[in-house]
Amino acid sequence: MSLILILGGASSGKSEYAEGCLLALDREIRYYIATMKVHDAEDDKRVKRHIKLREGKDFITIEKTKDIGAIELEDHKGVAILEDMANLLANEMFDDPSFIPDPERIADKIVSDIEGLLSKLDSLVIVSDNIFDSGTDYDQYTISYMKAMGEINKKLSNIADRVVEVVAGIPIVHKG
Amino acid sequence: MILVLGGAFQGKKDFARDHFGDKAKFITDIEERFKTDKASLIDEINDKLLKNEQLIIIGNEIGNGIVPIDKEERSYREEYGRYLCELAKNASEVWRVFCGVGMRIK
Repeated sequence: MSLILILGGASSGKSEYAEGCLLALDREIRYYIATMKVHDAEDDKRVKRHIKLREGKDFITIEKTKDIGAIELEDHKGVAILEDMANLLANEMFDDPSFIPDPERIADKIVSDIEGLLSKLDSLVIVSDNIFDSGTDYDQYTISYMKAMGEINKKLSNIADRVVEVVAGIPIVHKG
Repeated sequence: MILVLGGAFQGKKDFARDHFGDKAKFITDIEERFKTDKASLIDEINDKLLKNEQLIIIGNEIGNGIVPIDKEERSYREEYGRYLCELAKNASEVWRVFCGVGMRIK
């Protein structure tokens, strides 16, 4: 079992790089776990772009917007991409409008879901986000979100075999 | 073509001048020009690349923050990010400057 964590900013080429990583693992069963909820035309465009990127790469697409630990996979030999953490976290955190976000609890929940998912796979590539360089002048919900994302990235980085940041399509290896 | 990237106020221009010399041809602040004057920026860069002129392009990385609420901002950020990926692909060297220190990533 191996875990690869890929991080990057918006439109930094991280998905394409992550897909390349997965293909390099050279396993027959490849899952693409899509976490985004489509709300409008802009989201739809984004999803279509990603589907196009995956064309011909033979992925089995699983749409799961939260509770990814519950995904059932038939055998333990497959490899998967989880794309992406920003959407998964938003879905876990903000689905219930009355919910007051507790970043630590949410981070623990997501990391434990990921450990559950990983136990059913040969390898998992997670696409996560660097959202930390535009300051902290945001409302408390956004701050909670950033805090949870930071926690998740640190926890995943700790258990990952490899941590790679993608800048303008170029990988910078931080670990492994 | 050499591409120099990094966050705002990290010393990209100083690094580039120290490292590549004053005589090199620079195109700077491309994140600003991409916003206000995209067509002419792209033309200028393509033109110089076609003529095979040695060129150093300097620009901010702007995608490493919270997704902007404004739709135009979001689409600018995305288009610019993709453009940087394209430039990086065509560059012979890519440098990333952090706290004034340049790291060659390609």
